[in-house]
This record gives sequence, structure tokens and C-alpha cells, in this order.
Amino acid sequence: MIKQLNRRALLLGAGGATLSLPFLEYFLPKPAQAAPADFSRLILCYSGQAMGGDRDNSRSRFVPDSEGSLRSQPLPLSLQPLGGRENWPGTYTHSRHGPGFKEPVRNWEGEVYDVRDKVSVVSGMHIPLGNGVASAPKYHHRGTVSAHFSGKTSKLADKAQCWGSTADVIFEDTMGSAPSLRCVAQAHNYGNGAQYDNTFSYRSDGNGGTDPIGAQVSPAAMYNSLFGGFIPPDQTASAAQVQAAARRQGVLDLILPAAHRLDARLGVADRARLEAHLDGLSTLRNRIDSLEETVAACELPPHPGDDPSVTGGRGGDGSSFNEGEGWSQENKRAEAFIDMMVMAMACDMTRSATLMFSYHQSFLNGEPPTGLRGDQHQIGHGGNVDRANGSANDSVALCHHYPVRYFGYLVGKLASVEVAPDRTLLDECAAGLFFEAGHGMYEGGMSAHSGDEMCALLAGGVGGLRMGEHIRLLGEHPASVLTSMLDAVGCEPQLGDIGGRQARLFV
Amino acid sequence: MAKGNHVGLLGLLLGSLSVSACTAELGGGAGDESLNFGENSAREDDSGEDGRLIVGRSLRRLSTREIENTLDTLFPELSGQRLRFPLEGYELFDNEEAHTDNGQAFIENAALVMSALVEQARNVPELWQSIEVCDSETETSVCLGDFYDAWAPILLRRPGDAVERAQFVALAELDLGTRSDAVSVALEALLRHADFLHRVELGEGSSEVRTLTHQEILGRLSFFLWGEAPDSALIIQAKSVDLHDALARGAFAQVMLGDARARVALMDYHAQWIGFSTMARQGVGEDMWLESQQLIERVLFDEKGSYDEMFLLSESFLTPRLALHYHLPAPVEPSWVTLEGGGRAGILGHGSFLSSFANVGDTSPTKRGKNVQNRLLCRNIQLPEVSEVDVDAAPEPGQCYTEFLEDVHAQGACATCHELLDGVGFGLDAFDRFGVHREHERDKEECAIAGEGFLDGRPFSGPAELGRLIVEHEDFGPCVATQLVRFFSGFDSSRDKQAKNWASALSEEFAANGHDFVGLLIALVESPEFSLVAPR
Repeated sequence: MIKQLNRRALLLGAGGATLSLPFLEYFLPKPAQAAPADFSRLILCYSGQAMGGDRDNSRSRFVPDSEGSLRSQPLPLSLQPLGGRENWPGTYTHSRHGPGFKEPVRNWEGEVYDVRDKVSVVSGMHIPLGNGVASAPKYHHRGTVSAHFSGKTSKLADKAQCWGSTADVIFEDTMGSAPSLRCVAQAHNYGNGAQYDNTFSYRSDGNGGTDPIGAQVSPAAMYNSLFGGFIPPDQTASAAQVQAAARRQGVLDLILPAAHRLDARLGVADRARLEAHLDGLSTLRNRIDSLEETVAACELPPHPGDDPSVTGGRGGDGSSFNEGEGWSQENKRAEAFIDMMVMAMACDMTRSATLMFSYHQSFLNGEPPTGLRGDQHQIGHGGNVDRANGSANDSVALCHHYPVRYFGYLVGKLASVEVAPDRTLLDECAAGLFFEAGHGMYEGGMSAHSGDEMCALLAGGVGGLRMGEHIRLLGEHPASVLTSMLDAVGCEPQLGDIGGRQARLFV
Repeated sequence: MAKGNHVGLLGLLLGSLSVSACTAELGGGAGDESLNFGENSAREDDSGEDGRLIVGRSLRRLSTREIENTLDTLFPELSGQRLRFPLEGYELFDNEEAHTDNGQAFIENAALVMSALVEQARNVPELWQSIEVCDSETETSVCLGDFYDAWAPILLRRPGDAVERAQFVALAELDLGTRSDAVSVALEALLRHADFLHRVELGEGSSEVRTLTHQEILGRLSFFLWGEAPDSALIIQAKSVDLHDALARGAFAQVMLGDARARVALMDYHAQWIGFSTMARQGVGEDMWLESQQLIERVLFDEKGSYDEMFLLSESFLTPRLALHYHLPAPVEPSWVTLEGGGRAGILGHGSFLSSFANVGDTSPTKRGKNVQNRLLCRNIQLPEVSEVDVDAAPEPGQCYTEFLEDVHAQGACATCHELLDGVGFGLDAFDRFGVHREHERDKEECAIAGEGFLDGRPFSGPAELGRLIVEHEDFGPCVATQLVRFFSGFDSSRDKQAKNWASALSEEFAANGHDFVGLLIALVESPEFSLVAPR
């Protein structure tokens, strides 16, 4: 449990001296903040993987055997990391080395929380195929994304663009909160990415289109932005620290008005292009301001260090990756983002966040996280790559360990931050982990592109969300999990063409 | 069974094709009436009044390549150790507005990269001295003013601004530490300045279509030909040149092409256009990159012959390692080697290209064909809106991949597009996904590969013959011009009526001058459009 702090986060040196500068009129006002009594927070995570592999008719390794308590039944292979290290003991036979070879499930360093009581598994959901309401124009990579995250049928079947505002944006706009922290742990497309593959956040432009909102891929850059200049309140700031903070502020005090001057010189269309830039600069400034406020449980998270180097490489199958390619320590990146995300929420620097563990149709090299030679995409298709236990579904399940383990890490971290007596950050959250596709019959065979058997993980106690259970929402639209989360955090439960809340997700 | 033998007939009919099931735009050459299908149909942009393109973007965020190049030129002492921007994805060219998000993530990255650069610069005394401009006796406020006067025109690519200058000078009133600390703030502010991170082209006057300033034209030249902002040497060099004069501008561009940075920039351009820019430059991949780099430099700069040689040259620059990889006789040291037989020639025979559009576990005749059609002939063949088959389906055990593809792709409406795509891809299929010649499919000796294909009904076998068909194709010249205009413009100008007209005019010059690519570059620079903007 992180020690609860009664202290003042201090940004040193910024204020008085700059007040004499003549260009304060350029500073934008801070965006409206949610009412202090409103503590709800929203976190959306994503993995570009289906629930099962092609041509493997066995039941998904993701779905628990029965509904009800997760603790009262064995965790399926995909979900083993939710049980903590002691419940993540699996070994699997490895097709490359023959049936006698046993390889332990890869188990990275760091905390692995037992969060079986804090996470619910939602299964059995369905995105319709076709051009109807909130449908997937085709069951293929990216085809489900718009329907899932914006509740709108895609206008471009082979693009991941969402055609309505996504839940994180709706939350921001409704609550008037600071912009979401948007993170993407996959460092690179590894030669197989397409436009829009590295974000699942979109804002409606009011004219039938949407604008993608980019996600941060550099933990170091995000740390610098969030916590650079942060001085723990129980420390006495040195003169050097005061001056360093003043320098940070000094840079912003020059570039923010400069950007506004540029804005004034542009035509209407080009001004729209600069808008995101201006918003970003204002966010930097507001983050500095937010550090001046007293927030319980806020402390400096560990510095993530330099970003792991990006290996490059192209997916396709295991043999197409040279040694060490296609994996740039995405697990470390995810962990760093989660550490920052949790503390930024504890510090009330933001109330919403997104984290993509992998791109849509991810071609991450599967070997470092699973031991299976093959990229994540091809593992899903059960092609000419290694198989765990001879099963495409078991192989996919091992790929799930990366996002599931770190979603559990997120939940455990949120639960470890006490924001008030007997209340943790997790109690104020609605957090979900979503996937690119389900696992079902399509074109005559089991397909990793299918919109059947869509699943999600759900966590957080805000709004009475039900935790620690397997809840089967057979045939329901997975966007309804998101509308339920919106309802839980105090927003209207509407996402594009999908509305209402799933009563069974609530106690 | 030979691949692709069945695909010729429909291709022969291409000129009068009606492809209702195919999400494609065919005949994208200048002056053609495009056949638009489905999602990619877009309203043509009617900007501009004279029937030719007025490049209307007054604001373009620099690509990270352009930023990095600029910083490397400004601060060469730091180039080996600097923190770099994260890689950004793109589909064709990295400088297009669709791929140059200037929002929160970019701003955070710029903050980290630039603050780290300033810290590193301070640790190199000679460099820092040159940055600070003033001597140790000068007052901080004066020094800050001098700093602004010296650096703002270079970094902001416009004259300094009196109000802004005063704000920089006012840093002296703050308790920031030493004078160098104050200059650090000033330098970081310029490097994170919106004017530095964007190309701002507002032109002169207030009319709808404006003439760019001298400095803005110089910026266009530098970004286009060098992939970076103008440095102080170039600014000085250009002072005596009337860049508003087309011929003078063209002559100045010729001089710029003599700089090593032009070689790098045009290598980057071709790597993006051909489609191998994101390849891992490690191991044999490093040698593949070198092979293509040497070819591009030889054709464009060293021999200055016909651009067709890019696709026809029967020599290749091979390292011993790459030659072994290709199963070719290995030279003693990296050198030009004559390619005798085997079907290789030009850049389409390079591992860089052949490894770029593979499928899971094997080649992808479809992807290869699609990228040849779309990138080199400027067609716009895309995935259909409704997929009738599982595009990731795999052959049954024992089934030849060729037969599998022919079966799957012959189904229903799929056949129309796939004949266009696979016809090209099958002709390259005797080269595997690593660019190595092969006789049969991977692990299937019984599945012989003929490597025979068709482009618009004309048969070919291998990169050399495909290269010949490409350079002789009526759409090739217009496409070369179209892609160059698109790269210059920074947005997908292929559907812009004025851009098409401009590309058409340029392609005529390209044809008239015997496919001289450098001549095409100069013609583009000398075009009236080069110095105009229509702010929106």
C-alpha cells in the first residue's frame, strides 16, 4: 500500500517572476475541472488480438467454465496471470521441440497481483457482420474497431478509424476534465502497420468525420511531461531546483504565446490544424499548475529511464524476424505507462487514460513474451509457426498473458493507492481491457477475425460495477460494456448507436 | 503448375476495363478520367483558379525525419548521441499531413528531445560558445537579444519579431540561474517553437493566392531537396539569388543537388516511394539498403542517365554477404557486379523491394502486385469493402500455395482485382520473401514456381522484365511526376484536379527529356506553383 501523504505537491519558482512578463494575456485559462465531489475515473486498455485462433474449434481459452465467482473456479489459460504468481504456474509443450519438451509460461519480473476478486470477465458478446447498426463491414482486422469503440459502423472497412467519438473523449467532454493520458506500449509497427493502427481514440468533427487522437509511445517523454519539475513536498527545494522549475516554465511562457501568435496569422483551415498543438501546449502548462495543488496519495513515480531501444524488423512469421527484432520490451513500456497513469490519477492530473498494449492486427514478435516462434498475428492464424500444446487457441492464450498480466498489474496498482480511509483509487475507477476480435465461425471455419465471442475484462468499483465474476452477455454488443462504464462514471450511457447499460454488470 | 498463366486475358483488356467489383482507380495517369469505386472515391479539390495546383497548406508539421535532419545539420557535434523522436508510421510519404500529428504526444516528445539536446549542447564548450553568440562580459539581456537576432531567423525561418524578441530578452529578469541557463531556455524555446516545428508559408500580401517570400521559397527548396530546413550557409548562399525567378530558382536547385544531403534526401524519397523505408537495416538488411542506395545515387547523381536505369540496370552493388544471401558469386569486397541471367535487374530485383511486401510465411503475390500497381503506376487498388473470403486463409497441408491462391482468388468478384494484382506478383514469385531466387515453394519441392506473370496483359518473368514493362508503360512517367508532386505537396494530391494538371505537365517534360529525373526535379522547382500559396 502506498503511503497516504498529506502534503503539498510543489512546483517551484514558477510564479512570481513570470507575472511581470507582458504576455500573460496569451495564457489560456485552465479547462474546467470536474466538481471535487466527482471522483470517477475511466481507463480503457486494448490488445490487438482475437480470443482464439483459426481452425481451432476448441472453446476459447479465455472464457471461464461457468458464470459467477472467478475465485471459485480454475482460471482459463489466458487469464492465469490474474491469479498472481502462485496461480500462473503453467507449462506447455512446444511444437518446435517436440512433445516431450516443456516450456514454462514466460513470467516477467515485477509485481503480479492476484486480482481475481477485482476483475470481472465479460464474455459471449457479438458484433454483427454487415452494414447494419454498429456492425463490422467485414470480419477482418480493423473491421470491428469502429463498432466496438465508437458504436458506429465503419465507413472504411479496412481502416481502424472510428466513426464517432470514443468513450475516453466522451468522458473528457462530459466531465470537463483534463485530456486523457493516451499511451501505446507497442513501440513500432514492425513493418506491418497501417494508418490509425496505433490509436483507438477519436473525436467527432461534427461534420460526419472524426479526428484521430495520437497516443504517446515514449514513457520517458510522458514522464518528463507529467512529473518533470515535481518536488516532493516533504523535501526542501534547493535553489537549483527552484531555478530548474523556473526554466521549464520559462520555455512554456515563450512558446505558448508564440503558438497563439502563429494561430492568429493563419486562415481558418490551417488554424484548425494548429488546434491540437495549442491544446497540447496548454495541457503541459495545466499539468504544471496541477502539481501545485494538494492531492492526497500523490507522489513521484519511479523514473522509467530511457526508452528501450526500438528493434525494428518485420513480422510475418518467426523466421522473418532477425534475432531480437519485433519486440522492444513492450512489457517494460507498459509497466512504465501504468505506473505513470496510476500516479497521474492519484495526483488528479487526469481522470481518464487509454493504453494500447499492441496495435490493431499486431505483428509483435511472439517469441519474447511466449517462447513461441511467430508473430502475434500469425500465431492467431495458426500458420506455419510454433504451437503451444499443439493448439492455436493455447498459443493465442499465451499471447494474452502480456496484456492480461499488465491489466492485472494496473488493477493491483490502482487498488494499492489509498485515496481516503477505506477507499482506493480502484474504487473510483472503471477500467476495461478490450480485444480486436472474438472467436467464432466465419466463412465455414473458426476464425480469429470473427465478431463472435467477444470478451472484455472489467475492473473498478465506481458506480456499482460488479467485480470478481464471470458474466456472460450472450449476443450483446461489446460497446455496451463501454456504455455501462460511461454510466458508471457518471456520463450518459451512449456510444454512437449503442445506448443503455448492461444491468448484469452492476451489483 | 505455372503461376499466373491464366491472368493475361483480362489484363489485355485493361484499357477499356469495367471493374465494377474492384475497389480501384485505374489509369491514374495525368489527364485520365479515373474510374472511382467505393470508399476511395473522393471529391476533387477545386482549389486554385488557373487550372493548376496552388499548394494550399500554409501550415505543415515537419516530419520527424525533417526535424532530425535539421538538428543534425545545426548541431553535428551531437548527432551521434542525441535523443531522437520516436518512429512515426506512414503509408506512402512521411511528410503527409495524415501522418504528422502535432498534438499532445508530439509536443511531449519535442519537449524531451529538445531539452536533452540543449543539455548536451551545454556539455560541448565550443558548440555552446557558438550558440551563446556573445562573450562572457556581455550582460545577460544583451546576450539574449543577440542570441535571438542570430538564431531566430534560422530556426523560425522568418525574420525576428520585435515583441517576441522583447520576451526573450525579458528572461534576463528571471531567476533562472546563470546566463547560460537563460540562453538554454531561449534555445529550447526556439526548438520547441511552433514556427520551428511547422512549415509556415503565408506568402506576401492578402490576396487569395499569394507569392511566397524569399525565405519561404528557400524553405521549400531545402525541405524538398535536402529534407531539412535551410541552414545558415544556405541562407547566405541564397541571399544574392532571386528565388522568385524560375530559372534562377532552378539553377540554385541544381547547386543544391550537388550537396551530399540531396543524395540522402532522394534516397529517403525513393525508399518511401518504392516501399522499403521501414526495413530493418541490420545484418543483410543493411547490405540490401546499401545496394539500393548505390543504385539510386549512380542513376541520379553519378551517371545522370535515364531514370529507366533505376529499373533496368543489369549491375548491382553487392557486398560479399549479400551476394551469398542471393546465392550469387561473392565479390571480394563490396562492388558493382554484373548480373548475368537469373532475372534480376534494377531496384525491383533488390532484396529491399522483394522483402517489403510479403505475406505470413511466404511471398505475397497479391501484395507485391498491389504495390507495383499502386506505387509505380499510381493506380489505387484497395481491399474491397466486403470481403467474401478470409484473406488470411492458408493452404491445406500438402496443397501448393500457387494452387491455393488461384482457387481462392478466382472466386466471384475477387477474380477481377486479383488478376491485376496476382498477375504482377506471380511474375516475381521466383524470388522469395528475402529476395532469394527459388525454384519451388518453401518446403514443397513438388510445388514448382514458374515465376511468370502479366502486367496489363503483357507477359514477363522476373524483376528485369517487369522493370522493362514498367518503364515502357504509359502510366509510368505520369506516375513518377504524380508521386513527386505528392511528396512535394505533403498531402494526397492524386485526386486534386490542379495537382493532376501540374503532374501532367511535368510528365510531359519528363517524357520529352528522356526520363531525366533530375530534370523533372528542376522542372518542378521552376514551375510557377513552387512559389505560390493559397492560405486557407
